[in-house]
Amino acid sequence: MPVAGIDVGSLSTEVVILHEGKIAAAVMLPTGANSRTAANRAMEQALSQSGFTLDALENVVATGYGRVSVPFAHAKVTEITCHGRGAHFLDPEVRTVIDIGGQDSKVICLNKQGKVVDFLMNDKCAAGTGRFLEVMCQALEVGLADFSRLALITVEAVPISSMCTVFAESEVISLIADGYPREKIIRGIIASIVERTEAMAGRIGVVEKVMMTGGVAKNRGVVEALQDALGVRIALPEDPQLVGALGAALLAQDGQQGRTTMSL
Amino acid sequence: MGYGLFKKNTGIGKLKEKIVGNRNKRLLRWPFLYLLGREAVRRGLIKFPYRANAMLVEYGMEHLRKAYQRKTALVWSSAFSPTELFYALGVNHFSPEVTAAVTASFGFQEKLLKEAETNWWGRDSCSFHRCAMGGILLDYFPRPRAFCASTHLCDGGVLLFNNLAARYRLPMLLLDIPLRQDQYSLDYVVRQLKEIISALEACSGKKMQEERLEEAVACADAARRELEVVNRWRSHPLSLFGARQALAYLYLYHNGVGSPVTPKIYNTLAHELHMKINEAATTGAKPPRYRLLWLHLPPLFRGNNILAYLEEQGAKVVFEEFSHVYWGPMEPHKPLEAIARRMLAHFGYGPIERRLHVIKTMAENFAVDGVIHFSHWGCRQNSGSLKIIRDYLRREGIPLLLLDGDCADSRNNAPGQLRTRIDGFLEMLAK
Ligand SMILES: Nc1ncnc2c1ncn2[C@@H]1O[C@H](COP(=O)(O)OP(=O)(O)OP(=O)(O)O)[C@@H](O)[C@H]1O
Ligand code: SF4
Ligand SMILES: [Mg+2]
Repeated sequence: MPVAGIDVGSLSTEVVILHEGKIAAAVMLPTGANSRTAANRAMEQALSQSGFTLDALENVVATGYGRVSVPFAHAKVTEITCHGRGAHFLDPEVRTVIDIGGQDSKVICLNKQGKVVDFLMNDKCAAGTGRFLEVMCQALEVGLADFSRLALITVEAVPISSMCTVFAESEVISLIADGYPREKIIRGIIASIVERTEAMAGRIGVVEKVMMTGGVAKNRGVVEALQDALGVRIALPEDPQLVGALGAALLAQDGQQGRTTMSL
Repeated sequence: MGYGLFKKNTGIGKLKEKIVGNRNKRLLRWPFLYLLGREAVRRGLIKFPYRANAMLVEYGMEHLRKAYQRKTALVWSSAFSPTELFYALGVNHFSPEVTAAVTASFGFQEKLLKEAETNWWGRDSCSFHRCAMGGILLDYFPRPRAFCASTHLCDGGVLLFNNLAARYRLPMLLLDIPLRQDQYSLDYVVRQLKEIISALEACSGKKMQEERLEEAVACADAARRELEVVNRWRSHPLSLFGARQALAYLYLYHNGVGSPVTPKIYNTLAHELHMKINEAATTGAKPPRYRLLWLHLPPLFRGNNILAYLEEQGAKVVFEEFSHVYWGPMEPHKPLEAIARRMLAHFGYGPIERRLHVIKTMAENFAVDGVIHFSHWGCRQNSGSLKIIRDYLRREGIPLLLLDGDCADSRNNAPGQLRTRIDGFLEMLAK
């Protein structure tokens, strides 16, 4: 029987449908202003992709910020457990998961069985997360893809001193006005994200193998700089943004096979 | 969005904000109000789940009534100051920090915080002190004749009191607590207690009677014994009286040591807990799925229901750090030495090993499945030792959840994130 996982994040919503151990559908949409609408739309698309009806889904696990507003979910599980589950499935050797999404960054420690044994989350402030990067892209007038590409041109960075997204944005604007090349400013922005993530990873203690998940893992510039800073190789899944939904779907499958699925 | 943890301050909350409006300031400062409150409780017009709770509210009302009446001298005291001295001398005392917590629990904090901030009280400071400052500036709090602050825990209380003493040109009585627990420190504290007594005598016009001091110490000792019994009943597997039920008792814990009423209240509570546990055991009540220990204070402001949320998920905070009995037997015949020993005994001060030892004792006595450490905004005392606590609990194999937020200022909390951390932690315990 098919099962589904849905990850309603602060910026993006993903649905993964699993059937007979294989991915039958994978959808990704922006969350937008209404997480319930996003959840419904993403699920509709995933159902039409897979050819199943909602009633045919044996078990649906919701995760992400919007997990509380998914009307069709049977259970709610946090991103922490879902990213852990997804990463363990993709590579059972993984002991540390770094998930950087739109407004949260997390470092999750797994044991051999893939069980979450510890985790840390950024504090309330969203500096150093995906949304921060998006605002900087706007200020630089580059797309996310160009941002990643430009970051790889140079290793020189113009330091960004402000942590606050709003102040960092105006700092970037004045750096552009001062004629600094964009790629150096980008390295500066990346350095500030990496610094925060490195500190958080250092607090919890990084154990290899390390995998990065969440949308920011698609940013090559960030991944490479983080790799250098931590001094470890970072494994990347094929689509890092789907790992939360995949983990949720796997938990739905575990639940279906008689293992308990938490109903938080 | 409150994510099931916080409710917006609407309806009754807003109504209460009106009550703290300027027109009603006089009412709040009117001792008769507290007399009425006390009588209403005494006559059973207000219902409580425990008889001890009624006694506690009665005590609180009487405490506030005395603070607001002008006849007897009033001293403002910081948390963990030597309250035995006030009871023995017959001067009233008032704790702005504890009152700030009460104010927040009624949902009045916003106006007070704003007032303090408008007057340059930094937003990065502890909200208990900010709230207290707002209460002072708005003239809601009773006016003292002296300030008495101990250096226990944080410097915020001392700085607040210093500021106020200068502002009102009133005596500032500082009790400097040394880090070490040796004879030298004991003598040093005793000397300071004597000086404080002289200063209190001068500002109150009263004379300290040796027998009264011995009585107050005997009461403090009785409070210790009774609270230990309460805590033993609280550690019962059924855990009927968790942090949620016990929080109101912090008022007594901070203000009541040295009062003859305090041991009676604890004694009543202990008996009631004993009875209720027996009853619950016969009706087949179930213990909570997870037993948690809370370090530092949980959010207290009105509209937050973190503890209730945890309970809904089957995780009960069975005990909280600030209900731990930290002082040993007190010898009434050597009253000043006994008080000095109590002052020196606090685990939140001095080498971190003391706090670790207390955490271990509480975790064992209450057989907890996990510990929650709440880093209250602006509280360096509590959060400074986080790494050591974390490493220690890791070695002991006790899971630890770190939460960041604010006990009194709701604006410094991110409910969605708090909820994810809490849920993630419970999932971690579940597997
Ligand atoms: N193609 C891409 N290249 C580079 N970065 C990308 C790309 N796609 C997404 N991102 C980054 O990923 C971020 C969104 O990540 P994700 O979708 O994991 O967030 P989310 O799960 O909605 O948020 P959260 O988990 O914090 O609630 C964007 O802000 C952006 O910075
Ligand atoms: S919360 Fe911390 S800073 Fe505030 S009064 Fe308590 S010990 Fe002091
Ligand atoms: Mg996410």
